[in-house]
Amino acid sequence: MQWPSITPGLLCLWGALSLGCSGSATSAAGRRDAYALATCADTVTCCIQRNPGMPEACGLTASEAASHMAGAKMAVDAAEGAPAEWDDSHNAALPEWRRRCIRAYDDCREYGWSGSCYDCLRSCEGQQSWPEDQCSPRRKKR
Amino acid sequence: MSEKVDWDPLRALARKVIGEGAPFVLDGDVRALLRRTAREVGISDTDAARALTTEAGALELLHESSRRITEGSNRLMDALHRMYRHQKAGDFDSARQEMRDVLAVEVVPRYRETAQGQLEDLEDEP
Repeated sequence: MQWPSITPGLLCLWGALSLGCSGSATSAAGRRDAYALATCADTVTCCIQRNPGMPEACGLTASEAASHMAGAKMAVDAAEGAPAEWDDSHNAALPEWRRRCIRAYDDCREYGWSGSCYDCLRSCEGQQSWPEDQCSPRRKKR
Repeated sequence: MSEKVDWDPLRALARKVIGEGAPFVLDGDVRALLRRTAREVGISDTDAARALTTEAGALELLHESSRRITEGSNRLMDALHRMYRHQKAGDFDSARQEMRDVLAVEVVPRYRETAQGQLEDLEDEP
């Protein structure tokens, strides 16, 4: 399968995450540490962080690794209350199913869907489709 | 929601059999799972029972149920995302139309219920 090339924005994110693993003391260190803490919650994320610049060491392409960490970043943003982006053109290089996962995660979080948005994002990444039976919009009125 | 569904067991079975090529064993548990899921994705009990009389039919039922779950979710997620964007722009007619478009083609009851619920929530909007 031909994977799209990695975008500069995602490379920056990935680079920042890699630096965070090395304990660099900068003004953004706290945020990177938060990324690391929040994102090293599974084997793949930990592997990516331990092998900066070598996604193949984790059985991933550069694009897949960047996408994985982009999802993790969104989880951290959620924890920090950062606003979600609506325009996902920055993810144009990602496969459509990944973009859909990220968009759905964004909607899940912003509109307070039922279920754990983060768990559903992880599930979506595994099965390439959002688990609507686990995370779905709530009704405003009944 | 009127009925709680859990499609993870069906997804796991599809992943093993369709995705990984594992042998398809039509035992009692698999038969029950396929029968239950068929109903949840809008396949009649009669059609499901007919499919379950042969292993090939059961495998086809697995394919079809998995397809409906995945394609319906993709369609609904895309429509919901566009609906929210229309809402943010104050275009409630277009927001409602997104859910009507889902209802025009969707056969999975749960997805239909979600779309119908969102549509009803938009009733009070201009």
